Amino acid sequence: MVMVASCVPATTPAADNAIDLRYRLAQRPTARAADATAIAIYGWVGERSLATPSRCKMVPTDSAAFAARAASCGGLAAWYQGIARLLLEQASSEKFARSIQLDGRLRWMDLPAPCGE
Amino acid sequence: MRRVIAVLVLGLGRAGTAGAQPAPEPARVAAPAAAPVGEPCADPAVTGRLGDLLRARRFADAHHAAVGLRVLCGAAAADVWRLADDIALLRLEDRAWALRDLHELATNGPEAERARLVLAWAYSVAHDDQAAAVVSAQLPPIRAAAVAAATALEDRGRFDATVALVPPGLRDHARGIYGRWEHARHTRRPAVAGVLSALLPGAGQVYDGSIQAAAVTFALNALFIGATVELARDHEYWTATAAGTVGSFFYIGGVINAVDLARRRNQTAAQPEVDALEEVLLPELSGRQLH
Repeated sequence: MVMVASCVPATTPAADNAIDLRYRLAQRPTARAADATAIAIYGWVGERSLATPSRCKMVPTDSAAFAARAASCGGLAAWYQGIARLLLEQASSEKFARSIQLDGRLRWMDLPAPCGE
Repeated sequence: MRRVIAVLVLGLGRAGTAGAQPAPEPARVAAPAAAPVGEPCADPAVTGRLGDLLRARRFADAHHAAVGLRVLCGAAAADVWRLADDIALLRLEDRAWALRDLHELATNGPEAERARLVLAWAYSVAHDDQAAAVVSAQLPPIRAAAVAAATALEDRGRFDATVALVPPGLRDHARGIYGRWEHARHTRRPAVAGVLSALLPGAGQVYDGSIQAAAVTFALNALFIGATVELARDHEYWTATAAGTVGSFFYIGGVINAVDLARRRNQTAAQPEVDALEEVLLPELSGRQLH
């Protein structure tokens, strides 16, 4: 997916909500377009294979967090942290994360920290 | 029976003609006198409701409500709503917009002093000591000391030095909360969680208190480690290397997750004490003093 994303033109899908918008605006402008392409491909495949809208419990979504970490920490660290985040999603409860009612459902906030923290 | 048939026919006839001739509108029952809905831009209760959202830690809702009010009311939007919005954004870790807006608010207007206090807190939390010192210098000394104490939890010496400057009643209360915070922040040890997860994938997550994450970690690692070993025994070295590489992501990711969960557990366990300390030293941040 990363290889495909690096070859196709960049696209930037619209933000889902105000937090998503502000979160994206805070990202580095140079990294944003390429990352958004990877997320767009992932979303396109996901929509067609599962025939259901995104049900990610996390805010921002795992793919958006992966893109942010890949941009700031590099690809390898992003993969390790991405796996850790998927496990955090499994563990999601008030013991480990703050919940937020967003888009009509309960979601868990985990804004990516600066690289190394 | 005839009466029943007549009723049915009459009913059908009415239904058939209803499309051609609109039926007269039924007389409306007078609605009970409803409570007058105030103009939100001039309703003093709106500010209290924004404060309620902050107190309930519904920061995204507070932000959306404040943005809605600012769009609706334009120039008539109260500065206190901007302040509530900025506090909500800071809590949501969206600093850039909030800091810019707080600087504007702190320049002049009815919320200037509270905006300076929030600004000093925001800079202190971000460890921007120079900026925090500049803004704190514009605050009354007791308020500046309260900001410094509320943001010096990680530094016992600095906490003791700054909390000594606040009034005695608050000081004792703050010190009591600090003791409870120190105990709560060591609920789980991240190093122990990491070592446990390295020794047995999933054990760190059990220690942290998440059986579900532990089960997933254990299952994934068992799958990939087992596949790697089996493939290597069958002399399928290339496939074994591929399986081992993928498995290493789950193994290291599991260790990172165990450490992360322990830190998060400590953070969430200590958060009520942090909130209590802020409530005591900086009640503006909790929305309690918004009016």
